[in-house]
Amino acid sequence: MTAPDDAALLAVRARVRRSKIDRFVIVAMTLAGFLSFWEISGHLTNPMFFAPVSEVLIAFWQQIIDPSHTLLSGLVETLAVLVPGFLIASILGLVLGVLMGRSNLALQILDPYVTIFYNTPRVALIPVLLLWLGVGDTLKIVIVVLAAVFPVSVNVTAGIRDISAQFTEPARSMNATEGQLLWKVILPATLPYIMAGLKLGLGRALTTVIVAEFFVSLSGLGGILHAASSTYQMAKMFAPAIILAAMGITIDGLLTYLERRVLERYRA
Amino acid sequence: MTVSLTVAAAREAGARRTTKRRNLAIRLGSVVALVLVWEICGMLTPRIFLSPFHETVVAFWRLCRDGTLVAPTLSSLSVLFAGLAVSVLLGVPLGLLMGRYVRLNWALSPYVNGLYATPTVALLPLLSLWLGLYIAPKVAIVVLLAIFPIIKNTYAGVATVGHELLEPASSMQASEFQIARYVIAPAIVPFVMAGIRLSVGRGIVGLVVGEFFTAQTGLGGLLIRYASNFRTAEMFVPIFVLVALGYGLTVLVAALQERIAPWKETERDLGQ
Repeated sequence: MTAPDDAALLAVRARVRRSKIDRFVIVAMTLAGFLSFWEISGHLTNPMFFAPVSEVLIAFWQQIIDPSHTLLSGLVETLAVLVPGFLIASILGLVLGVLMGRSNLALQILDPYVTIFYNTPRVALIPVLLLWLGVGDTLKIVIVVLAAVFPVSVNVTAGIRDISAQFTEPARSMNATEGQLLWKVILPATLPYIMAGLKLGLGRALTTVIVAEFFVSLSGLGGILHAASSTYQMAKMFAPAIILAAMGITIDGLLTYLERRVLERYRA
Repeated sequence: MTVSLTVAAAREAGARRTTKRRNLAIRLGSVVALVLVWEICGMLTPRIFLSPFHETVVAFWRLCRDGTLVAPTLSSLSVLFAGLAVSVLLGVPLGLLMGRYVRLNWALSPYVNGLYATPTVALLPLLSLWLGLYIAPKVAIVVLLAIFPIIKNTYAGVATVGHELLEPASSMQASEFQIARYVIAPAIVPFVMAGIRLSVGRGIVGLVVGEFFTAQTGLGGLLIRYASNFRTAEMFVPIFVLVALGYGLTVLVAALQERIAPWKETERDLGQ
């Protein structure tokens, strides 16, 4: 009885392993194809418009070991806007979302504005805020907050409204206070929504930081990129772009991982 | 018994109606309050920072009537629609193929996921070097922002079509095309529409960024021109049009979704 089972199990394991190898081979081959296409087309085109991947990597390395640390300080400048902006937006979005989810009055008062701002292309507000706040980090932080706060708040509100009475009623009937209800029942139940909102908000925040850096005071990674491209230094231009891509992918992956952990706990 | 029931029902309906009316009143009051604050702040601050609300309304009317607003709106709309059309025409087949052929998915998904998480506006300087300053780089940046939600949602839609749907079709000798047309297509339409809805907002961001940093045309260009001339009353007009555009298109796609695919409601943002 056990022998054929074992054989079947082994066969399945072998198939899984083979498909893993297949996958690895395919990913490696596509990557190799992509890089060689980049390299060859970089050599064939005008160096003012494109650079082969080898030159990009060399320029990247040179910018890293460069004693003036332009790239590193650019990264620090970008993070100095992104991190506080995103933190403020998360907290504000959570508070706003809870308020609008729990109180009908707050919902009715705030909903028109949230709807409008959620649908406003946030980058369109940069010229306006530039008039009011001037060129500087305040402007960038404010625009990041504006970009990220509404996806968070909209998701939290939707989450709280979605939790049906079957969660809140038992707690209520046991005389839970509003605070207990919020911390022990509602927020844990809305965690998946909160995570989704944070992910959405982060994507918007990153895009907005770069546009703000293009627009005002050419600083940060966006500024370096803009400066390199307007002086046709193609190889140099890719370094900040690669860092930005890596940043987006890393933070997104981290949030996805957290989201999965939260969902697992939530289901258990 | 029945009488008291109908009375209760009528009372409940009446109560619901009053709540609805009260909610509407609160909303209106909230909007009026903002307009008043705007008006007062506009009167108190210098004109180069903020104009009173009524001047923006007047400016809106004037720009509509003398036609200043028409050409930029049309120019922005054509870029946006071209970008969204390209995104749908490329993104849906790609998502379909990736969902149907696992090897293709393995090959492409690192790039699709990576670019989805990357702030692709960073590529605008490069696009503008390659494609010039006019319509091409703008359409390209709209596509780069808008295509990924469509690919990912289409892919997720195909992934939901399980064996219990596919096997009966193939056992009755349905061709690959028939499977695609009669089994997969109906199942993925709601997902595709949800993807398009996400793409609209992202596409408008791409449009505005494109109009800011290549040749300043369209509503974004108009906005920059007014802002840099400190014409604060006119400055808000293109913003209003952009907001209306985003909101209107989102509502339109939602309505279309309801009409084309009323059988399933799927609201997810995948990957981002």
